[in-house]
Amino acid sequence: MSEQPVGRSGERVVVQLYVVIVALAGVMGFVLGNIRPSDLEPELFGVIALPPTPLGVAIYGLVTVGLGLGVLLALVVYISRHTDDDGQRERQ
Amino acid sequence: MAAGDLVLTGLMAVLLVGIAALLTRIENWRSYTPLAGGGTATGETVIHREKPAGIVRWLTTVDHKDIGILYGVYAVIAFAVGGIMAMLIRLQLVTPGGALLGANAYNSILTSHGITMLFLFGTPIIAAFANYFIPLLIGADDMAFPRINAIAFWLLPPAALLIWAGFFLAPVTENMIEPAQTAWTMYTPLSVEQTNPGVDLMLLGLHLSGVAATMGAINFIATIFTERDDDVSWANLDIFSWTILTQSALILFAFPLLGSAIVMLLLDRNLATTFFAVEGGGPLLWQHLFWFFGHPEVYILVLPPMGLVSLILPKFAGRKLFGFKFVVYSTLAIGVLSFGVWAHHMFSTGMDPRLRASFMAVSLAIAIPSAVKTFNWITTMWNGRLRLTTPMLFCIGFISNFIIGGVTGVFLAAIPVDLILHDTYYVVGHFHYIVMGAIGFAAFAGIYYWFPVFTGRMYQRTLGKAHFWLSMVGTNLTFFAMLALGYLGMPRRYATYQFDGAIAPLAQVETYHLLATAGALILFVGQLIFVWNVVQSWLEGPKVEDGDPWNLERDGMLDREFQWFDRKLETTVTDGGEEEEQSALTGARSDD
Repeated sequence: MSEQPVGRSGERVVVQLYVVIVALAGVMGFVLGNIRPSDLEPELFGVIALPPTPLGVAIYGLVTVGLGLGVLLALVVYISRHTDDDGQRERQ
Repeated sequence: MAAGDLVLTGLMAVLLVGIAALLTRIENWRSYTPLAGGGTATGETVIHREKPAGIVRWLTTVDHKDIGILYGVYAVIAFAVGGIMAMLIRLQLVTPGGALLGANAYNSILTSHGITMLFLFGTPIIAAFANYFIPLLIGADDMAFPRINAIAFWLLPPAALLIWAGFFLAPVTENMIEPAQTAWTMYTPLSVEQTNPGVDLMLLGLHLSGVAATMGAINFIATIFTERDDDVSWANLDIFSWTILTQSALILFAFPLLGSAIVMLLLDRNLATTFFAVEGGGPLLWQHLFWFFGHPEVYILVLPPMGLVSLILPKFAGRKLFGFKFVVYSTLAIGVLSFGVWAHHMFSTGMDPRLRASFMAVSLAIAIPSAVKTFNWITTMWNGRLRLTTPMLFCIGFISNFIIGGVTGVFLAAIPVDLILHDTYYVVGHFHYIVMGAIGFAAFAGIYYWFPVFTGRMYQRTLGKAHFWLSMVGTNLTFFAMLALGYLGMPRRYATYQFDGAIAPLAQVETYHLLATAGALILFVGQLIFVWNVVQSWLEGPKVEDGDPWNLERDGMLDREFQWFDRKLETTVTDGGEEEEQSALTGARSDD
C-alpha cells in the first residue's frame, strides 16, 4: 500500500455523528411517548405545548437535543475557523 | 485410607520433581552469558534468549512490557468471565419469572459481574497499557520499582480467586460457603447480616486488588516524576501519561479508604464491632465511606481511557490534538472535583437537603471539564482528514457513547430527576454507556492501535471492523433499552419482575428486556470475534516489518513508543536474533 490515503473529511464525520445522536434523542422521545408517564406534558422551551404522543415527544427530543448540541457544534465550527491554527494548516 | 496416602505421596513426589526441574531452568538462565555476536548457544534443549524460556519467564519477569502483557491477558480473561456473567443476567430477564437462575444464583452473578468488570477488568486493562507504554512514552528504561511492579500484578490472581471463591467452594462445601450476594456496593446492613463466609472472602479479595492498585499507582507516580528522559519535560509530556499520573493520584487517595472501610466491614461481620450498626456509626456511614472511594473510582477508570482517545484520535485525524493544554487542565480539574460529588449517589437516603444541593452543584460542575474534552476531540476531528481504522472507529464510538452517557448523567445529577429515577434501569443504562460504551471502547482502541507493537504482527482489519460495529450496535441497543426500562420504573438488581398495570404494562417492560438481551447477544458475538482476531493474529498474523505501521511519520506524529518499536525491529534484523518467516508480509502497513 504505497499510495498515501487522503482520509475522510472530518466535518462530514462530525455532522454524521451529530445527526445520529440527535436521531437517538428523537427515538427516545418516541419511546417516552409510548410509555407515556402520567404527568407527561412536553413544552418546547417551556412555551410551545406539544401533545404527549410518541410523535409529539419525539419532536420535543429532536428539537431540544438538536438545538443544545447544535449550539455546541456551531461553537466548534467557530473555534475551528478562528483559533485552531494547527487545523487550518492541515486543511491548506 | 492407605491408598489415599499413597496417591498423596505420589503427587508430592511429582510436585518436588517439577520444582526441581523449574529450578534447573532458572539456574540455566542465571548462568547464561550473552554471546558477543548475538548468536545463541546451540545444541541445548532450552532456548536461551535474554530472558528465560517458557513459563518461567512469565513467572519471574520484572520487565514492564512483560508485566503489561500479563495485566492485559489477566484483564481479557476477567472481561470474558464478567461478560459471561452479564449474558446470564440478560438471559435470566428475558421472561418476567426468570428464565435461567434462582434468586440466589442471580444475586451472586450480579454481584460478581460488577466487581469483576470494575476491579478485575477495568483497572488491570488500564494498568496493562500503562505498564507497557508509559516507560516507552517518557523514555524510561523501566518502571521506577520493577519488583514492586511485579508484586502488584501477582496480587491480582489471588484477588480474583478470593472474589470468585464462593462459586468454587459452594459445590464442595454443600453451600456452606456461597458467592457474595451483596451487589458491588456492599451496602450495610445487608452486607453485615449475610452470614455467608463467601462475603468475607470476596472482601479480602477486593482488599487485595486495592493494595495492588495502590502499589501500581505509587510506582507510576515515581516513574513519571523521576524516570523521564532528559528531553521529556512537563511541557511536552504526552496526554496518556498525564491521565495516568492523575489517575494514580486519585488511586492514592481513594483505594486506601476503601481498604479501611472493608476492614471495618469485616470487623462488623466477624468481631461484633458496630461501625455500621444503628447503635454505632449507622448504615449511612458505609455509604459515605464507600462512595467517597466509589465516585473517584469512576474517574480512576475513565481518565486513562480519555487519555487513550486523546492520544490515538489525533493520529488518525492527521493533526495535533486541539487545545492540548485545556485537555490536561480538564483532566486535573476532573481529578480534584471527583472527590466532591460522592453524595449524589445518596440523594434518596434522606440526607440533609442543604448538603444535597451542594453535591448537586459540584456534580453538575464536573460536567464542564468533561465537556471541554469532548469539545476538543470534536474540534480535532472537524479540521482533520480522518482515516477510519479500527482504533479510530473505537475512538469515535467512545465519543458518541460518552456524549449519551454524559448527558443522561447530567440529568441524574439533578436532585428532582434523581429522586424519580434512582435505583431504576435508567441508572444502569447511564453508567453502562460509560463503562462499556466509553471505557471498553477506549480499551479496544488501545489494543488495536498498539497491537503491532506488542505482538509484532497486524490484526485482521475486517474482523476488527466487524468487532467495532457489533459492539457499537450491541452497546446502544442494550443500554438504550435500559434507559427506557428506567422510565418504565423497572428497578435494578431484581431477578424477576411483576408490574402493576397502573405503573407500566408488563408486556412493554418485557419487550425492552428482550431488546436489551438481543443487544447483549450482538455484543457477545462481537467480543467472540475480538478474542478470535487477537489470538489468531498474534499467532499467525502478517509480521510488521516497518516501525511505522500507521503511517504516522507523514504527519510528524510518530510517538516515542513507535520509534522504540522501529529501533527494536532494526536491532532484531542486525543481530539476526529472531528467525524471519518467508511468508512475512513486507511492511504490513494499515491505512484502513
